[in-house]
Order: sequence, then C-alpha cells, then structure tokens
Amino acid sequence: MSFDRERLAGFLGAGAVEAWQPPSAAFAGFLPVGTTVALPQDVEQVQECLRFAARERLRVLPAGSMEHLHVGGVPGAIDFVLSLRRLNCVLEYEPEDLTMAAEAGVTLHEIARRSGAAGQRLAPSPWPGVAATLGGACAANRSGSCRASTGTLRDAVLGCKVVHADGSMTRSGGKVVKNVSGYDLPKLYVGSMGSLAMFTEINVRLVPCPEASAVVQVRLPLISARNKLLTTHRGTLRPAALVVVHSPGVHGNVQLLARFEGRESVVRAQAEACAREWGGEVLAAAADTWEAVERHAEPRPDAMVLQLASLPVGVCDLLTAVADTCGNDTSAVALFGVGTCSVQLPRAQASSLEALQQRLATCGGSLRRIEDPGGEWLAPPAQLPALQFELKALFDPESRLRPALFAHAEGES
Amino acid sequence: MSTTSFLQDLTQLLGARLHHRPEDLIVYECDALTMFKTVPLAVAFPETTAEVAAIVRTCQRHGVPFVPRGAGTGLSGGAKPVEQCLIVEMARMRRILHIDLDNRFAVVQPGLVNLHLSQAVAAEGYYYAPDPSSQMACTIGGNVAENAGGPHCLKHGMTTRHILGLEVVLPSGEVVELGGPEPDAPGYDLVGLFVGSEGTIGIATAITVRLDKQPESVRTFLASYARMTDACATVSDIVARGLDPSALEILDHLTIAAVESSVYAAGYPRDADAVLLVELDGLEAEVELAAVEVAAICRARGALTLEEARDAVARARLWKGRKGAFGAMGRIDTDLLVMDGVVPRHKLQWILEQVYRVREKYGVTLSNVFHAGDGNLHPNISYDGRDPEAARRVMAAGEEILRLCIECGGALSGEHGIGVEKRDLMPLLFDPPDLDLMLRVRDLWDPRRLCNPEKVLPAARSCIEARGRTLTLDATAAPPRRGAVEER
Repeated sequence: MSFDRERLAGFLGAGAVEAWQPPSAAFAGFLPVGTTVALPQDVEQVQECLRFAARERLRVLPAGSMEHLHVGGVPGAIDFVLSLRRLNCVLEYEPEDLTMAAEAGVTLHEIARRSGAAGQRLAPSPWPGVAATLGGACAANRSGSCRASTGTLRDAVLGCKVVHADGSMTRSGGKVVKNVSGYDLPKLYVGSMGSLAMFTEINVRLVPCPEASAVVQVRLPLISARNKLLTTHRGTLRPAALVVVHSPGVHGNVQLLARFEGRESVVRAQAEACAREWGGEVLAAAADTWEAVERHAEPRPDAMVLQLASLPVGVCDLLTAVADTCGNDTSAVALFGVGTCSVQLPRAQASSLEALQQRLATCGGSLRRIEDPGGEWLAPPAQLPALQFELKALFDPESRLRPALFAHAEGES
Repeated sequence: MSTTSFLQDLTQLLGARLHHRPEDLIVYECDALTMFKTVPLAVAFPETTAEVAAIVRTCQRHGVPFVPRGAGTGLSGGAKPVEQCLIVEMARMRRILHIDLDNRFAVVQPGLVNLHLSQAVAAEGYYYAPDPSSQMACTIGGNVAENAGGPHCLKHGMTTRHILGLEVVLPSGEVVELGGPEPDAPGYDLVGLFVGSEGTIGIATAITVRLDKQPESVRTFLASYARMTDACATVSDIVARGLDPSALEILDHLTIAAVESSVYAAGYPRDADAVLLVELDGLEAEVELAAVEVAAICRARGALTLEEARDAVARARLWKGRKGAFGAMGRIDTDLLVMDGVVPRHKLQWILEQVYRVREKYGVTLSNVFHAGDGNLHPNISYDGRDPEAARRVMAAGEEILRLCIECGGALSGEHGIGVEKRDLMPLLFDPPDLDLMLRVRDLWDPRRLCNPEKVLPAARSCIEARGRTLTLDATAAPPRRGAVEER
C-alpha cells in the first residue's frame, strides 16, 4: 500500500519525514529504497503518527536509528518507518541510585558518555555502531559478548512507557532497582522488535564500570577447544566472556578469547593465569580484536547472518556443524557459557543452510534466526504456542506494528 | 456448581490426596499474611504435572476457582484462598528432576524448598542465588510466582534473572513449555511475564533454574551505629564507590532488641541505634581490596563497632539475626504486618524519617529491617489483631507509608508481591489504562478468572477507575476481622 507522505509531514513538519536509503550495501534489501521514515520529536507526535496509521490502516515499522534493522530478519511489508531517534533526552540520572530514565531515542553512546562520567555503565556492552538507540537496542534485546556475566538488556530494564498501536500510552515496571508491583510487562516488550508496542521512555539499571580489562588469546584446533574451555569454565578463573572465533580460510583452527574485567591487579593476575593455562598470550592491545567480536553479527553485503543456539557449553558442536556443512569461507563467533553463535554465511554458500539445519538437529543445536534480506526460512523453527500469537493480537489486534515478526512460526497449535 | 460432584470428581482423581474435612483446612485459611483469612473448600495434593492439569480441568468444568500454593510463606496473601476455592498445594512435587553443572542449570519441581537446591549442589561448588529470608521453608514455585528477592539479590538479581524455563499448566488445563536452558527462545518472553505473576496465569509444574558457581571468597561485616543516618550514609558511600557488595542490610534499634531477646540472637550490640550487615563476594583478591574500603567507609561514617565474621560459623551467626528478624518480632506482639515498599536509594534517609513520623502519628509499634542497598524497606508493625482499633491504625499507617514510597518515585512492593494486601493500592502506582492492560493480559490466559482470582489487580475496569479517583486515607474504615472468614 502506498500513501501520501505529505500527510505525515502535515502534522510532523516538513523536516520530520525522510525517504529511507540503505546506510550501506549491507542493509540494501531489508526495506524498499525510499520507504517513508517519520521522525516525531515528542511523545504526542508518536501517538499522533500511530493514530494516523490506525485511521489509514497503515503498517508501521517501529525503529530507532535502524542500526538493528537486520535483527529479526526482513520486517515484511510496511508502509512507513516510525523512528524515535529525535526523542533523545536523558530524563533522570541519579548516580547514587545507579539508575537512569531516558527517552527511547537516546543513543547508547550518549548513555555511555553520561554514565561513564560517574564511573557507571549499562551492563551489556554498547553496540559499536554510532547511532544505536536505547529503544532499538531494548526492542532487539541487545546483549554483547560479555553476556555470560552481564546478561542482556532484559536484565537491565526496570520499567518503561510505551505507545500502543492505537496511539494510547501505558506504563509498567518502575524506576527502582527492585520492584514486583504488577505484571512484568517490560519483559514482553524487550526483544519484541516493536511488534507489541513502541518504547518511548525506558528506565534502566546501571552498574559500576570495571577498573580494567584484559583479553587472552590462543589459537588451536577446534577439536581441542572444547576441553580447554570446559577446564576454564569449571575452574577458579572468572572470565567475563569466553569466545570462540572461527575465521574464514583457516583450516581447523579457532581463536579462543577470554576477557577479564574488574580491579586492575586482579584482572592482570587472572589474565596471566589464563594465558598460562591455555598456553596463550595476554593481548597487548585488544580493542580491535574485541570490536571485531562485537561487530560480528552486523550485516554484510556478501553474507547472510545466522543466529544459532545450543546449551551454554555446546557451542563447539555448533562450530563443528558450521565447519562441516558451510565450507571454509564461513566465519562464526560463539559465546561459550552462553550458548549463542553468530555465523556469517557467504551468499554463495546459501545452499548449505539445509545441511546445516539437519546437522544442528543431531547435536542439540538450533537455527534461531536468519538475518538477511533474502533469508527465506528453509524450514520454520519449532512452532510457537498459540499464546504467542494471541498476545500479539491482544496488543496489536490489526497487526500494524512490524506485522511479519514470528509469522513464519505460526502453526496450527 | 455442585460441591458434592466436584469433590467426587477430585477424589476419584486423587483419593486421599484431597483434603476437605474442616479440621484439615484451617491451616490453609491464610499464608504468612495473617490479616486476611478464608477457609477453602478443599486442598488438593498433586504429584505429577498430569494431575495438576486434570485438577485444573476439573475446576474449569465445575467453575471452581483454584489457588496454587507452595509453603504458604508469602507475605502479601498471594496464596490466600477465595470463597469456595480449591487450594492446589504443590508440596508433594518437590523433586530435583535434573542437574547439569557444566551448563549451570537444574530442573526442579515447584514444591522444592529453595535452600534444598543449593544444598544439593553445594558439594560440587554451586548454588542457587535467590535467597529470600524464608529460604529454609519457601518453595521455588512460590518464589517464581512472587519473583522473590532476598538479601543477595542486590548483586545477583531477583528470581526472574535465574529462571530459564518453565513447564506451566495454563488455566485452561493445557500444558506448555516456555523458554529453556538454551538462550533466545523464539517468541515473546513468556517466562519473564510468568515470573512474578503471582499464580494468576497458570501453575508452574517444572522450573529450569540457573545455577551459579559459589564465590571463591565471602566476607561479612557487622557495623553498629549510634544514629541510623550514619548507617544509611555508609550504604550510600559503599554503593557510590562501586564496591558492588552482595548484601547491604540494616536493622534498627527495636529490631535489634527483638532479635537479641529471641532464639535468633546474633550478638548485635543492643545499645546501637542501627546495625549494618555488609557482605562481599567474588574472587578472593577482589573481595580483599573491597573489604579494606568497606571497613574504612564504616569507620569514616562513625561506626561504633566493626566486626568481621572470621569463619562460616560466625557468618551464619551474623545472618541468623537478620534472617530470623521477622520471627523474632513475635516477641513484640501477637500479629505482625511486614511491609515491603521501595524507594530510590537516594531517598532512603528521607523515607526512614517519614516512617518514624508515621509511627508517632498512629502510635504503632514499628521496627525497621531492610535491604538498604536496593532501597527496599520492611517496616514491620507489631500489633494485637484481636483489637480492632489497633488493626485499623496499623492498616492506615501502612497505607500512608506506601503512599510516601510512591510519592518519592518508589513502588508498592520490592519482593513480597501485591497479593490481596496491596491490590487495592495499585491505582496509586498505575493509571487506569496501565492496570486495564495488565487485566487484559491476565484475561488472555484466564478468561474465566478462576486461577488465583482477586489477587494483584483490582477486579474490573470500573473498580480500577473508581479506586484511582477515590482512594484516600481512611483511618475510620472498618478493620479486617481476624480469624473470621473474610472477603465474602
């Protein structure tokens, strides 16, 4: 369906409506070039946009800066993007409380800057992209590579205000760090990709910044990685992350990374002990290596991103399955102790997806998502219980907000 | 509904595991919130998921409300019966079904006592982190329903952070699996919604919980103060310094006196206005550094005494007084209302001043023991429930304190839940559309409202709106009658 963009401009103002252009080739295909992007500047305008959509029977893609556009796959047929990136005020910050209330369009970098000045941070590591917003990151349930120790944004959100598909507004949760007053609706919104309602304001818990960090590295055959990682996992070291990196073109070998965070002297001692245990080295400059890990799941023009899952210590089996079925040009990053693995599968190798899925089924793994413009599901994942769709229907009865999410998993149940 | 045919159907299903003689029901008329009581119609003791599902279907067939119950230690009346209801007592489903230490999870039945899980994996160096003060008695199913906290959730998070998956009998009787030990289950986070829903949207019959490695080192300090404000200032300094303690607990003078005169005596200095328990856990070297700073902060804030637990026995002694504090209140009077308001941490001193002002205003016996690190207050009002005037004053004082918590940006409950106790105060915290949405979510799962009805949410939209407009402090309202069947 097409509609007259000027009508949005009529109540938002001329500068508040844009036509979408892919920021890079990697994003091409996620949305049609030229899709209307509405940029309200306050909550009232967000409500007005959604009421307009309801009146006109238009489908909306809730968004922030659109840096997480690929998460959750192709949004499907939508009429306009509703971006909240101009709602960008930090509303309250009490360092003594380790809490912050912010509008959904505040960037993660702004949060890092503000909280960093007081020696605090959001626990999940910030998205390396420059413009990612809090609302978008929460909608995508962003985590980061230290997820084993920090959790995901699910664990950091204390409460929120949302605007619903009909333009109405509700609040749930609160601003305090401990709260069991009423249903925990923020848990539903986090990770929902905006398909239930749109965050306009989010209250988050912060944590003290670690004094120091260090990264230990070793390269070894994948077949030896599992035992090495298990020994560390069971032992007395307390890494913030244990990562296995499979790089393209490297036969059989993987790179193990252990990140340590905390007091400087303790981090140094832990990293040195880990390097001894692994026969590896403490990286003198780890920032680039770590950023590559954090950025691994970003979309690329020539590859499709797959998200795999297994039991927390089962990721080496996932990597073996990838190596055996997807060819040598595939890269993968797995979080040991979490059970996630992101894979960059070259488009030329897309035909290996079916073999990968079959192989995963034999090792207790699963393909959770394909984040790619062309990512048709070869076979849908386990069908979701009917309750999931009934919940969507309750929040968004006319299916206006990101309508296609989970649609592939709708079964007869 | 025919009561006779309902009980016949259940007897056929459960045999002697259905109790309905009046003398067997008395113990189920309330949970640890003793202010409200209703004798249930019967109590069922299922042993399997299939039995729970069959019980729920039977209730649906006969239109009988059902109330899931763990150990009955809840403090907000979440397991209080409603008129003519069936209590589904989960105590016989208390097995540990599966333990996977490498993947750090266990699957347990809901009736498992919280502490028993940690005990089962302690020898291997693991534990289950959420530790409500009642952990020797309360069940993990009850903890899930209430999203229970405990002193150590300051660092390690509430129950919701530790629940990975659930097998749930829905109010329809259908059994569903939600989440699991593998991350990122597709779909919306129904596990997150279920935890803390106070048994109103289903009955958990198997629970996948996260296990954690025991910390390498634990250090516990007890500081005593001549002034409560100094204890609070110590807490602020410790948090501001980023020391990340695992627990920060304060007990006031009256609580110290009650504890020290009870079997929970922990050796707290009786002359102190407040004592502060600080616990640090983590890597030995890291804890050592933090311990030096904690001790310096306590001294700088004028601690009268500073004691460190030298070993596990001494640590257990220091905690005994804190964890037994509610029990020790029994020495003060026959009844106890344990409150659970939360405030932003920087409002802690302010709210305590207000709480003591309310104590004077209503002339009630009020003591404070609280999770200072996360701003979670437990003002405890001791009273003689046989005295209607006393009960009236207690209710009014309690409501005023909760209003103050909300006024300064806090919440009605930090860890005990809303239950029946604070249900009608929800409009103070939420607007009608917020509550209406929660009600619609509830109705999606339980359209006939048979699953733990009359809890958490005011019953109908009209009621929500009316309450929102008219809820006022009313010290002259009739008190709840103690010992009688309430809420007819």
